[in-house]
Amino acid sequence: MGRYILRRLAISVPVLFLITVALFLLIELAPGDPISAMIDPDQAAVMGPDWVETQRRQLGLDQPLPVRYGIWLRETVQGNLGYSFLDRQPVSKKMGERLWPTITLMTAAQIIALVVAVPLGVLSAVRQYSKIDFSVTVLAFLAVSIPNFFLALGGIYLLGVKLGVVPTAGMGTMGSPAAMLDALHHLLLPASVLGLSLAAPLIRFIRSSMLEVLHQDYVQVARAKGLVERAVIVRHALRNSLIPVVTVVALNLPNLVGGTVIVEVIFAWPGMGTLVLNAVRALDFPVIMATNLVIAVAILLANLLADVLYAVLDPRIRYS
Amino acid sequence: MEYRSNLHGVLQQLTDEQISRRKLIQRAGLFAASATTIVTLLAACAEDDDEVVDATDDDDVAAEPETDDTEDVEEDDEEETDDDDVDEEPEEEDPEEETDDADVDEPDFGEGGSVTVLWRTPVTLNPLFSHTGIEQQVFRSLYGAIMKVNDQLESEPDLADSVDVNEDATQYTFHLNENIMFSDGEQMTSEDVRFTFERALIPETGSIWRGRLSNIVGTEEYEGDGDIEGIVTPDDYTIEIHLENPEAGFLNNLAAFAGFCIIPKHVWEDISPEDMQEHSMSMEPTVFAGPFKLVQYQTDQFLEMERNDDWFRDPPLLDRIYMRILEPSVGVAQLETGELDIMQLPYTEIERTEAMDHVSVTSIPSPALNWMIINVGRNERFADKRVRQAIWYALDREGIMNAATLGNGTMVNNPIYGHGFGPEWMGDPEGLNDYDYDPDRARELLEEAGWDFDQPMEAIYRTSDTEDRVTIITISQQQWTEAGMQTELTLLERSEAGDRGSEGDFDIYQVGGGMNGAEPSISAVYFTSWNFPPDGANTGHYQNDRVDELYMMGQATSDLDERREIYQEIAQIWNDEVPWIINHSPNTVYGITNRVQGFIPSSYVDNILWNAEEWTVDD
Repeated sequence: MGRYILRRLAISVPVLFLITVALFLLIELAPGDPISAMIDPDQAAVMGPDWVETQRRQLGLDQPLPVRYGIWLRETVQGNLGYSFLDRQPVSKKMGERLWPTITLMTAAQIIALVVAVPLGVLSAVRQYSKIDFSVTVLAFLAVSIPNFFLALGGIYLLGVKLGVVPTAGMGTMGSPAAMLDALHHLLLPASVLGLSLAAPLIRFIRSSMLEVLHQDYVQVARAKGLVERAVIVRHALRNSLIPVVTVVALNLPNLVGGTVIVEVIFAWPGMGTLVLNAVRALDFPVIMATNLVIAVAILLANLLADVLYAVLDPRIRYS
Repeated sequence: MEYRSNLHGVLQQLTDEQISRRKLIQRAGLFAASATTIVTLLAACAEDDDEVVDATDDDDVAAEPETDDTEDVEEDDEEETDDDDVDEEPEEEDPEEETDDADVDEPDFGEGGSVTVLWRTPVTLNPLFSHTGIEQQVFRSLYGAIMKVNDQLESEPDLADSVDVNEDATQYTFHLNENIMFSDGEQMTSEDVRFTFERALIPETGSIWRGRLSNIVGTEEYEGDGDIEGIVTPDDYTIEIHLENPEAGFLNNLAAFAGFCIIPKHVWEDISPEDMQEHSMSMEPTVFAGPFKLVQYQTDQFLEMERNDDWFRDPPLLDRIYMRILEPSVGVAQLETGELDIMQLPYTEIERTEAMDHVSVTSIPSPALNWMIINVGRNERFADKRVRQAIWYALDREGIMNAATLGNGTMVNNPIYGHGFGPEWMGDPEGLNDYDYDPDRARELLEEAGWDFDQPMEAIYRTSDTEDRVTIITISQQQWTEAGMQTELTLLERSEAGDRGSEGDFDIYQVGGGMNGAEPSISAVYFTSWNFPPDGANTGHYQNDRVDELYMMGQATSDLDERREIYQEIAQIWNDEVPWIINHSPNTVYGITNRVQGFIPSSYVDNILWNAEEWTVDD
């Protein structure tokens, strides 16, 4: 097992390298350049002809592509992620500011998703083709098909404006010192909105996984032993049906650092999604490279974690 | 027996596995739970940390406790009004009653209160580098500007008490107020002003101001050593600026980007020009000379500023202003709950906002113009002015304006006077054509000019265009095609459109922007032959020798009668030659809660805080 993990990690290094090369080329291929993306070419002209040249020189854009990639690689390997083209602030600082809000939001959403999805999925499988099953299925389909932003705006209007039970946006009350309760209060609505849309596919997944397990011999055996139905379902069926679910959840983990653009923007949540979106719009090379590097690492690790977990949870699987 | 033992074995195996798996899952669950707690705790701690990084930590120790009190009071107010909502009237909002209740419960301590304004994410908080109007909204309030802009876009002295101009508009003398203190206790002198000009003019700084100020004597040769010949400081409070060429619009130029703000020399002088933008003070400035001081900027969330009690004029009446970063649709929701006080409204939200009892809606003319550039100079099809006139006649511009702005716009027939702002001396030019909708006339003109009806023309627009501009170009395409000019639309990424624009590779190019100043000379950059790209913004390569000459004459005199004649003639020539298509000027619309008093809406949203020091709140 240990050797397997080491080998996977070793393979990750060239994969990451290829990802960064491809990214660099892709951004370079995008129409326009960072200067004209940052400022209307029209306005740049008003600032005088040498302004654009100065900017290009300061950003190192006058160097050929391989040289720029070489410099970027050298600095990144040494732990220097560089400065944003847009505001010239250190990329590590920009990411640092936004990483925690995103992790908080996404973790809370993931937990809400599990808390909602597991009981509903199990119930729906155990009472297959009942009214409950039908309602849960319809609910899950609704949650899948309603876009995030609609749920978010609807939630803000209903719960924030009309009922006034949750704040409409932000991470805390402006002008008051940060407080745990206040933070949780602000977290409630955005995390629920995200949690619901994460829960919907999970419900379907747990339901089918559960149905499969319920038809296994060992469940029949448990029933034959005379165990109460509750014990059969919770102890024997549910545990086994959760094994593939763990994999799905593990593969969701990269989202914890990647964030989600729309919900973050609507709730004024200062997260990674917004940072990435703005960077892509501005062709902000250093920020795009750094955020994607972090996300790529997260995806590679999550995949590895999923495989390892699978082996740990299901003894039938062995890696060598 | 065999069967039994088999079954037993299976069961045994299952139980064994289950125990280990149970433990695993239990541990995993425990881990997940503790991880969440840790994450939440860390997040809370991180916020605490930010609180400590307080831009105004060092100064005004005495003022600190007071402001803390206000914060608490506000928080209580909010919580209580929330409770009121839930308990009493979950369906209907009654803001007046809420505030009344709050008044009864929390007596007024005579504090100035706070106002929350809708904002968007800023790029930098250093005025030398700002290139979006978003951060320009707060610069003058924080730093103070040599000249500020009022609601009518006129340039007014701010840090300067008065300005003298010589007759041929080549020398400007600024008399700095003698009591300006920076928030760290140092006095502002002419040295700070000179320093700011120097830093703006050194090419290595990369400041947006360099192009605007390049008319100052000695800037071309200036490399950062010694003095600039054209900036003279005879004493601590006088700054003389000498210009290479006459520039009657110089004061308006200085009021561009919402005003030329002064940065403190003693804070910045040890930081080299090329390091300025990267410096953390560009995002977290610490020393100010404006009516407000920065308390904190919470990334992507809000900016908080508080009253500067040491300001050299009467101190502001408000305690603090919050600039809140929100999507407009959420902003409207917050306007309804009273969390937000002032915002620029999208046209589609006007109706909903007007229905709120505690919010007033104001729609006022703005300097923004919706224009499209016609490729006059690089494409022979458009060289004949009859073709360009036909392009105008073919459009039902008023109908388009109504579709794009829901009636919140003003019709415009030239960009020099059409933006509706300008000092009185400009007068009103006569004999201008309004180009009322007349598709038959358009067809006639096209035939006279020998237009090739089979060859389509290409109109390019951009993914960054706002909804109203997309409406304009879509309807225009339809109406041009109806009048015989087949039109194809091409949607481009902004940077790509910019490249095609400066290469002259287009027929019609929708840009849109504004003439953000009450001074007719600012339009020169679009219509004079020395402003062809990349030197200026005359993207259509429009060239008319008389227009060139007039723009030059207009800058060379400060005699207002002469200037009036000059700019009226430019407007007349422009209106006849129409190098651009201007559909209309869209209004700026604000939603303001009734508790805010003294807010004078600026025609130009980048200038929204122009008189914030006079605002009060009535709770």
